Amino acid sequence: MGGAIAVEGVSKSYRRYRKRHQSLKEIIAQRSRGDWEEFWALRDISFEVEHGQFLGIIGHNGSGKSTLLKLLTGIMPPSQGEIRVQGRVASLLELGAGFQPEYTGRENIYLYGTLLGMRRKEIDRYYDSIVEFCELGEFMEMAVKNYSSGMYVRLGFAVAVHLDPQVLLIDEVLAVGDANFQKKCFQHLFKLRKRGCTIVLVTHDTASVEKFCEHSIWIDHGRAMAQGKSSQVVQQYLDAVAGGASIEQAAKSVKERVAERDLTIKGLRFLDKDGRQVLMFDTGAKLRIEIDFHARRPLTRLEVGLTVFREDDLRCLDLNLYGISVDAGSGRWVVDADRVDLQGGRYAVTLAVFDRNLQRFQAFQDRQYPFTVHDDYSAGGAFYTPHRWSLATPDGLLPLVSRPPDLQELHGMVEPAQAAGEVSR
Amino acid sequence: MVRHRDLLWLLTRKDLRLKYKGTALGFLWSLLNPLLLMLVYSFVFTIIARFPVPRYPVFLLAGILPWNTFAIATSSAATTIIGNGNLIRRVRFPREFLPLASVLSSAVNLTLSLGILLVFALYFHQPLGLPLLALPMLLVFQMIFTAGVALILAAVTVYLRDVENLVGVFLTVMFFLTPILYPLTALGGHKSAYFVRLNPMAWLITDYQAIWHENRWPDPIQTAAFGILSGVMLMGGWLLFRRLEQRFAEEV
Repeated sequence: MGGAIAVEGVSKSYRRYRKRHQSLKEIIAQRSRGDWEEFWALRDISFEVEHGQFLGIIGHNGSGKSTLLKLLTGIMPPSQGEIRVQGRVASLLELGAGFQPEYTGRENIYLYGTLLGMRRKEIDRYYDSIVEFCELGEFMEMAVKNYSSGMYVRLGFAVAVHLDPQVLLIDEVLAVGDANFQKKCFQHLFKLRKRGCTIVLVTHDTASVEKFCEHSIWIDHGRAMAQGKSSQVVQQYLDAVAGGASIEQAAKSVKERVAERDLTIKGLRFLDKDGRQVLMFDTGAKLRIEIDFHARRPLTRLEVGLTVFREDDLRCLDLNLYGISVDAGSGRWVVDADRVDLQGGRYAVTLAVFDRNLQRFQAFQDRQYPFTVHDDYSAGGAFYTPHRWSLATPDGLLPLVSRPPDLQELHGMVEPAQAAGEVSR
Repeated sequence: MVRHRDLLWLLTRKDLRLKYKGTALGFLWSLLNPLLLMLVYSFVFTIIARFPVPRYPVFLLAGILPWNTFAIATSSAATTIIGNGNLIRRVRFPREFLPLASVLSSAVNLTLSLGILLVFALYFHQPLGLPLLALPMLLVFQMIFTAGVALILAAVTVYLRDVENLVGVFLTVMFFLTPILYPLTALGGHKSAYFVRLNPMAWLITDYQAIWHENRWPDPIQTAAFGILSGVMLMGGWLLFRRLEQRFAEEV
């Protein structure tokens, strides 16, 4: 087989200890190594990746994504099945993996480099280039325990890509870096791919998967729910998240029903200006939110709270409606927003219906409805507002036109030669 | 593993540096312990107990230096895997390098301390000669043997945390069951002599004493036996380590 990575029928089980015996006394007294149950983190996963391809792995936290990456790295063996990875493998598994906190940046470059299998001489040769790439020149003699998480990522990434790996495995870590560095990283990843490097990207950022990976796998509860072309896999994933198809969410909705409330939320949808259902839209877009509900009896003095949280729990918007009544039966509320000026990022809607008469909630769905806002030049901040820049001149204001670098360059889609060439190797 | 060889040196240097970091006397500190022991034991056994051993301090150092090296290497190697869970869980590299680095750094230490032994030997007018040529072989055998023990201890400690403590106790007992403070001949025909003779560390230590104290070649049969045992130990240790290594990432 010519593939760079071949995974065949791989499963992985862990021992989940309820009680763990690690001392001789306990082991002799209990005649066991503890009380444990088998927990299947992965079940029957198969796929192949060709040389020079990007593979995306998406899924919820705890779905088994990271376990898969650890198996690919060879940190632990699969319980069943077979994994073949050809060539030099570098992995960026967790933030600051393999760094010694009390070591300086320089020492960690050498330690991490040799851990990944570089020769000392190679590191000597690439040292300047590594430092230049991570832009941490002035911090090289500082112990990394004083680094910020962003600096950790920079350092780790810079070393890993200089290993000239044939296979590069990246787990989520890129999300930590700032936008500029991310851009640079992706630029470099494309360069590596050109040389035939195979890259596996684990993330729950579906947007970057769609952008960078030809193929992806969606894993949920250890099983491959979908695999194939990224656009299709991502769509299936988003549909499932929105429809609550994951087992976890199904369980949650059962609980809702058991609660026997007078009002049930049947669903919430986001629609764009053309009335199409969407999960991702641009900053400044017109948006309609439809909420389907069912009331078992007529209700009065209801308060509907629609709150938008950013993924880091920042409460961004409260769109509330007070003192309304509903008749028995099904109905639909429609919220029209003329512009949604949230900056690019991932958000989720919390929906609550409060009954002022009973002084209790009729419905409460915490962050059940995720959506993504996309913008081209996220400069940070929570909010965007339409604005103009001008230059004050004696004759009045002279409008200034902003000329950002084009999208292609920003995301490193252009040929490395064109991309300013600041990433030297 | 070949690709990673620079890692072994780096880990060894790290180990050495950690030991002597920030101390003005550096390496000398590691000698202080055996030297103090030597003074105390010399006092006890030559002045109080009047052991009939000429140049007792040289005899003592010849045994205590290699023993200490063995003891430090094995006891520190035992915790190398559980102490580096961070690396084990996140990076793929030859994990055997962690205990082996402890062994290597102890080898460096032993080599340096044998220099001190030479100074003492000359001071006490100890006759020395050609048998010194056998020294490198002994060192190599000792390191192979220690590496085998270190691999076993490092791997087993992951699953059985009290090995760490057991090693300490075991080493203390073995210290007295190895002819370090006393010459093997002092046991005479006592039954315990058989037991002591079965102890491979006794073979090694008496070889060192032969070279440094008696100026004669080490016993060839005994030395060959130790060499073979060392090889077996290393092979066995490696196989066991390889086997137990599979679940390190989950257990540390």
